[in-house]
This record gives sequence, C-alpha cells and structure tokens, in this order.
Amino acid sequence: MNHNQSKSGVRPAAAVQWLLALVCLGLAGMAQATGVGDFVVDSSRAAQLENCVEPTEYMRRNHMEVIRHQRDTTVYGGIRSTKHSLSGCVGCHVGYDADHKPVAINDKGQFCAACHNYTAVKLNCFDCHATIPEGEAWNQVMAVDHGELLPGVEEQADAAAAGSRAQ
Amino acid sequence: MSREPDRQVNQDRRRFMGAAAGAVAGSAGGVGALAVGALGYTAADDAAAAPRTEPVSDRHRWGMFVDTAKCAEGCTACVDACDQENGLNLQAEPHGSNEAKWQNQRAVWIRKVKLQDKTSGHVTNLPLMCQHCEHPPCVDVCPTGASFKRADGIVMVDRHTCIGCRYCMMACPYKARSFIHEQVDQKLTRAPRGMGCVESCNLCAHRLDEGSASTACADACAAEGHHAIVFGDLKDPTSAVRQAMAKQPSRQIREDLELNTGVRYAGI
Amino acid sequence: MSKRIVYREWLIQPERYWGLLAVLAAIIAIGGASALYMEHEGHWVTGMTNSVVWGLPHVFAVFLIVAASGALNVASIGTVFNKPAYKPLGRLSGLLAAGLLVGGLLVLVLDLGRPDRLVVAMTTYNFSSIFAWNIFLYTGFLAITIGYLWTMAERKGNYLQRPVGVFAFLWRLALTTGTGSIFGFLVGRTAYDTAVLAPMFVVMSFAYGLAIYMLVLMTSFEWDGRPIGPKILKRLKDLLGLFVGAVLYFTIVYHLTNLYGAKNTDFEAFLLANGGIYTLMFWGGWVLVGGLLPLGIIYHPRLGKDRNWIATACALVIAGGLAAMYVVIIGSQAFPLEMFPGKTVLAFGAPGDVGGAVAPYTPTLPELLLGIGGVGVAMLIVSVGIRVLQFLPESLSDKEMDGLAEAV
Repeated sequence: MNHNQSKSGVRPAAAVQWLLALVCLGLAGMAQATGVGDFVVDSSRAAQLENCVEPTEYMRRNHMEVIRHQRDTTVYGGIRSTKHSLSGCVGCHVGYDADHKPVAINDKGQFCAACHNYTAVKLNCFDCHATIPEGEAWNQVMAVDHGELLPGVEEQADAAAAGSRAQ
Repeated sequence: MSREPDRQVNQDRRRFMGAAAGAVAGSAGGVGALAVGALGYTAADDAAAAPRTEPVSDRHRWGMFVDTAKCAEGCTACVDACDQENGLNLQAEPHGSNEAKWQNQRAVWIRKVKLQDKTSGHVTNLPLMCQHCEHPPCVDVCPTGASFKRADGIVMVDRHTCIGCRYCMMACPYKARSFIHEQVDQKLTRAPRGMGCVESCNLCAHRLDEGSASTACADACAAEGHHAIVFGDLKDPTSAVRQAMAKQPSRQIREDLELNTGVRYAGI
Repeated sequence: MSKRIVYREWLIQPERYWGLLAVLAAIIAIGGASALYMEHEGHWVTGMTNSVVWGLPHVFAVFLIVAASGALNVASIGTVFNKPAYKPLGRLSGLLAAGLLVGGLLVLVLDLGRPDRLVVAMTTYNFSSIFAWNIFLYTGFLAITIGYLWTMAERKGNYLQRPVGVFAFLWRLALTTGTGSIFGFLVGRTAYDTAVLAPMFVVMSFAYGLAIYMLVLMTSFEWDGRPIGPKILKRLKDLLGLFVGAVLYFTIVYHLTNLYGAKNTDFEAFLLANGGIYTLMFWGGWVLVGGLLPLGIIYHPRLGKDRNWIATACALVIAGGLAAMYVVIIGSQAFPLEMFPGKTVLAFGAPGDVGGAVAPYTPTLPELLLGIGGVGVAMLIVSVGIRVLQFLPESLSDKEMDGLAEAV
C-alpha cells in the first residue's frame, strides 16, 4: 500500500516518511522515558508487588482516566473501596527514607514527579491531596488488606452492561 | 448488631474496620435476613456495617441533634476533635500575616457559639457547623455545581470543580463555609485541602463511607460525658438522633428561611 | 440625502498617543502582577476573610460591569428612542461598553480562588445559579455590542441598526438586573434580601455609564481639538442630572423598604448612623459626592455651563459610584449575619473569629491595583479602538448638530 501511495504522488510518501520518523523519535523518547521513569521507588510497597492494580502498560497510559473515574465515584457516591483510588496510589507508591519516613510522592525523583517532570505534564492532584499516606480513610490499600477490594468503576460498568445484555 | 460496634468504633476505628471486615463476611446474611424478616427495614444496618460498596442513596439522610442544655460552657471538645479529624489543626499562619486577620481567614468547620438572651440574660452554648440544609442556598448559587448535596443529605464541595468564586459563602446564612486563603503544605489523606477552594463540614463523610455512623464532634462530646451532639439517620425512626429529637422540641436556626436543616437544636 | 455624520480616527500626535498607551500598559501590568501575586500567595495577602469574602476587586468589577451596561445607553437613545442628536455618539458608546465589560470581567476572573479553572466555569453550569446565567449575559452582551457596532458602522448593516439596538437595550437591562440579582437573591443576608436592589442597579448603571461616557468623550475630543457644542453638552449633562437624581430616589426607596421591615432596622442603623467607615461612605460618598454635589453643579446656572465643572461632576458621580458599590458589597458583608434573633452573641468560635459583630475589612494594595488594572484595560481598549477605527465623529458643534436634527 505504501508503494501505491508513493506512486500516486511524492507528498504522501514524504508524509509517511515523516510520520515514521516521528514515531521512531517518539519510541526513542519513550525508551528513554522508560529509562528515567521505569521504576517504582525501591522503598515503596509497590516494589514488592508483581503488578499495579492494572497491567503496567495500561496504567502508564491510562492512570489519569482511571483516577478520574474513581474520583467522581468517591466524591458523589461515597465509594472508596474500588481499586483505583488516588489515596491507594499514594499509599502503595510512596517511597521511604532511611528513617522509614515517607517521602512526598511528588518530590523530585519520587514516583509521580519523576515521570511528570520528564514529560513536562503539570500535575495538580497534590494542590489538595496529601502526598504521603497520613490519616487515610478507607482506600484501595486497606480494601486489599481486608480482602474487600471492589472492581474498578469501568469494570463495574462493563459488568452491569453485560448483565443487562444477558437479561 | 450495628449499634454495638458503633460504640467500639468511637474508641478505635482502625481495629473496628479489621473486625468488621471479618464479622460482616460471617454475619451479613444473617443480619440481612433479620432486618428484612423480623424488624422490617432499618436503615442503620446497611449504613454502619462495612465500607460502602453501593453509591450513597436517599434512603438515609444524615443529620444531628444538639441539646444546648448539655453543651458545656468552655468545653471545646467537638471543635478540637473536628480539627484533628479533618486536618484543620495542620493549617499554618502564613509568614507576614497578622494574627487577627488570620483568625478570620483560617478554615473553621465547627464553632462554639455562646449566646445571651437580650431580655432574660439566659446564656446558651452551642456548636455551629454546616446545617446540611435540604434546600441549601450554597448549592443554588454555585455557578459550576461544585457545591452539591450528596444523595444522603450531606452538603459538600467537589473541589475538583470549585473555582473559588465564594458565592456560596455569600449565600450561606450560617457562615459555615471557609475559603482556603493560603498554601496548604500539610494535609491528611482523608481531608484534602488546597488554596483557592471553599470547604465546610461534611459530617465526616469518610467515616460514613467506611461504614461507621459517627462524627468526630459527636464522639468527642460523648467522650467528655456531655452527649450534647447526637448524630444519625434522620430518616430512620429508630435511630439515636430521631429518638433524641422525639423526646423534646427542637428548632432550626433561621427557621424563617425554610431550608429544612439537617442539624436541629433544642433550647434556642 | 440627509446630512451625513463624518467619523474619523483619533488623530492626536503619535507621541501623545503612544505615551497614553505606555501609561495604560503600565497600569495594566501592575494590575496583572498584583493578580499573579494574589494567586501565587493566596488570598491571605488581601483584606478578604471568611466574613468579608468579596472585597475591593469586586467593587471595581461590579462597578465596571454595571457602568458598561449604562455606557451603551447613549447608543440606545439614538437608535431605540430615535433621538437624532445622539446618533453620532453611538459608536463610542458601544466601544466603551465593550471595553468596560472586558475590564470588569477580567478583574472578576482574576480574583477567583482558582482562575486557572476558568474553563470549568465555561463548561460546567448550574442553571439554578444566577451567576451562571450572568456568564451568558456578559458574553452575550459583548457579542451583541460588537454586532451593534457593526450595524452602526457598516452601511449594509444600517437597516438592522434598530432591531439590534432594541435587542441590545433589552439585553442590557437583563444584564444589569442579573448583576443586581447576584446580590438580591442572597436570602441569608439582611442587606440584600430585597427586590429593590435590581432596579436600583439599573438606574445606577445609567448614571455611572453616562458619567464615564461623558468624561471619555470630552477628553478624547479635547485632545484632538474636535468641537463639542454647548447644546449637546447640555443635553448630556441634563440627562446625567436626571439619572443621578433617580439613583438618589432609589436609594431613599431602598432604605425606606428596609426600615419598613422591622427586622432590618439594625442594619439600617448600621448603615445610616453607627457603621463607621460604611456610614461615612454612604453619606459622604454615595449621597454627597455621588449625588448632591454633582446635582448642584449640573443645575447651577453658571457652573452647569462650564465644561470643567461638568467634567468634575462626572468624576464625582464615578467616585460616588465606587463608594456606593463599596457600601453595597462590603458594608453588607461586614454587617453580622443575624442568626439568633433576640440574643446577643457573646462568643463565636475561637477568639478573633468573627460572628455576631461587625467584621473588619481593610483592603490591601494588590486588591486596589488589580481593580485599577481593570479600569486600565477598559481605557486601553477604547484608546486603541478610536485610534484605529472610525469611532469618533469629526465634530459635535451646535452647527453640525442642528444640521443633523433638521436632516432627519
């Protein structure tokens, strides 16, 4: 198909080349980003776990959506036990210093800041939200500890939709 | 089942959550059957058992009853407890601010108010917080809908959409709301707080969501032995708050505005 | 063919023009810096508190928005009420209205706790909020004014002038009523819980808008050496006198209504007798400077003909208007919420927390600078507008005006 395009005109071919170049650049950038940001902080609870609440690749790309869905569920519905709570993110991913004191998750080099600084994406969760687990209410981490984790908001919606279809 | 653990919760909520998780797993079926079969539906059961798994609904309406006769002069237990619970004690006066102004700028969710009758000289003490109106003026005026009433009657602010216009503060007849005037460095996970948004008492919504039907102020008042604040479900005739309200007449503050407040007072 | 009005760009010397722009730019930059400072530090650097939640920026913002609506009045008189003498004044009227509105809105927006979330305000609406409605009223006003200007300036659009003018006139009334209602619907606050507030805002808008309009007109003509005849000046100042008189009348009605309701007597005593700065602002600013003095000048047999005195009267109306806004917006917040009738509030929260007593408020410099910055923006828009486009008529001399009146 590419061949056909290049026959039909120079411009599409050039565009394709540009696109390819861009994708390569992007991949290279991502590879580097992975180099910088491919870590859970060693001292964090997350470091001992196989996976995040969703597959890592999925979380890398969609964590903001996932958090936002849970946000409305929590604020308006009062549900804090689904596996996508921001408070759960902080509880699991926060690093600890030599004295076992938690380090703010948005501090330089910590879990959130490492990637967000690298990609220059402003993060304003922590304008209001706590950056270390302190005075937590019920959240994902506790729900796991008590074996009461609820599925994510999207999964619940999917399940509900599947249920209604089945009927 | 529900009311007993409730009291334990007041002492140690963490321990309760662990225990409840197990207890509920074991007995949820039994309780459910009992509630539906023998007593009919009572709201307290599903409210105060386990962390919430279903969105809040209007089957409950949370509220309080304050018996001003029991509210002791000079006692600030409720205020202190609220400060601790909701991280209000973590607010720091900005450098270069002046003390008097800061007292009017820092966030306050609950206040002790002392009144004296102009004719008789009788002195009344009471705690004043968001009255959780059924028809809240703050919700009416909010341009973005950030100020909202949760299905279970709790009036609160969705700080994700609050733009800090402070119109709700203009509208509130109770001075219940606070604007965050300064950078907030320290906060609790359960009580997010940030510069430029408005907030107020949310009846310790995080406790309710965990399955504990209590508020910090009511617990603290009871722990002091005063029992002036009773918290509970206004829609459940068997709840402690309804029982207390049934025993004596109570009023709403600014009853003339017909806001149908969720907080009622006896002796004013 | 009837006599045509000739419009010309503002032709003052470049040095003077650029000098003016530089001054305005500096005022705006300072205002912007103040807003940044307030946003960065938080509102603790202002005098605003949890008791007085809207401060000096709102005084300026509401004043500018109200005046914007009034400034368009001159154009309405020309097109809607068919007074030929006002026709040449229409274009400047529209431009000034747009400028004042933009200035006022900027101040309002920059005083938000989270101005960065403006997009939220533009995308999520709560239609039970008069504030949300006002967002539409304001943006709509801007669009209509621009359309109105087009019908006045483009001959092809001339036939639309009257319908658009009528629409703009009605929209303008709605806008001022809406602005007044922002306060009028606050049931919890003694001062605001009255329907008189909305029509009072409409009349205030006429007065303040016209005063600003006259000052801008006289200044821009003076600098450019264009003539304004005594006849049109007399018309304008008589109109101003009428509006200022109407403001005073509504002021009396407002207070009488409040006094009639027994529960409001405390508030009235506060405002009229023992409210300190607010009482002073009311009598000294709102009534004397903004009302009686200008009326005295306008209807004085000699001073009323003197341009400088007329300009002084306009300035006094503006100053009085700001004082009136200060009393309406801040005075009524400083006055304690009446929660416990028949009871004295001995203590309200921690010591220093205010309730049951008059709340202190001292505006700080950044608030003032932000407000003035908004005025700067309005003036910048007008200056650039009249310089690059044909907004100002070449002459408003009596001869010109007589010709116009005969021609139509």
